[in-house]
Amino acid sequence: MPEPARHSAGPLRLPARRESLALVREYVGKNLEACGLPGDRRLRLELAVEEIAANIITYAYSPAGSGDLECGFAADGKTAEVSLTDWGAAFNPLEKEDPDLAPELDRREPGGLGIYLARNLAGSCSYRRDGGRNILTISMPLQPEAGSARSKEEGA
Amino acid sequence: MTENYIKCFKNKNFSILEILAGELDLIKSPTVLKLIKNVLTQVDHPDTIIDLKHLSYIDSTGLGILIATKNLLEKREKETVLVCNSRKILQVFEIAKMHNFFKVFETTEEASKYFDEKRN
Repeated sequence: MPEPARHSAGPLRLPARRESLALVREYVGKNLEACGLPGDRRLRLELAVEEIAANIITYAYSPAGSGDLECGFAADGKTAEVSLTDWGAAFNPLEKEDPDLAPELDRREPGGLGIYLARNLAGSCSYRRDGGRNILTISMPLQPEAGSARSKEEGA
Repeated sequence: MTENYIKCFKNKNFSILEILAGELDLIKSPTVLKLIKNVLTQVDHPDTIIDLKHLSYIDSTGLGILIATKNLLEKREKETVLVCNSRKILQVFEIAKMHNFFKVFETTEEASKYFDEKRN
């Protein structure tokens, strides 16, 4: 297996609109390809990023307002990190409670699923508020931890 | 053409709702949900197989569509099952604990057999 590469990319700043989601997907996919993250974890990280980006597009700015979404990428040879920044009101998605996923709830609603998925898909997530910006960083190890369930699954 | 996002076949014991859109994401999901609601209100809809074999990507808005469809049909005491054999999509179902909520079959034949046996 080739060594995962160190790789970073300039940030991508876009209007926080649904149409921008495809460009975020392309930016993240291209950079994950360049740093050699393998299929299973690449899928998880891509989906986690998309869920957070979709959340920013839908909720970061008031319905009448508008603003930007910025995506950044860095890989240090051990971990790939994608950061997502918005200039909306302070909001830490990691403090949001998990949705109730109990099967017996016949009125189970999809609300909150996106953040829940992102948290569970990513290797780790961190949030900070800095100068009027919400910055969420999503990380994934480039190599599976030896002996972990995920590494066995990927080796299968 | 948004009409090509879904296709519906009716059978004696069940119907098959085939999702033709390759992705159920923030961009396509609102249209797909609208089309599904149109189909469900136009006919007296029986038990339903949602066939996801063309799907290559699903996010939480797509999961929301599946949940909304199941809830709509459940109100009429009809069952909804899924057909999916994509490891990528199944992995998302697993994380969202969708397997607690839906029966998932690998093929439409298996899902059809399930409804045929339920009726007989």
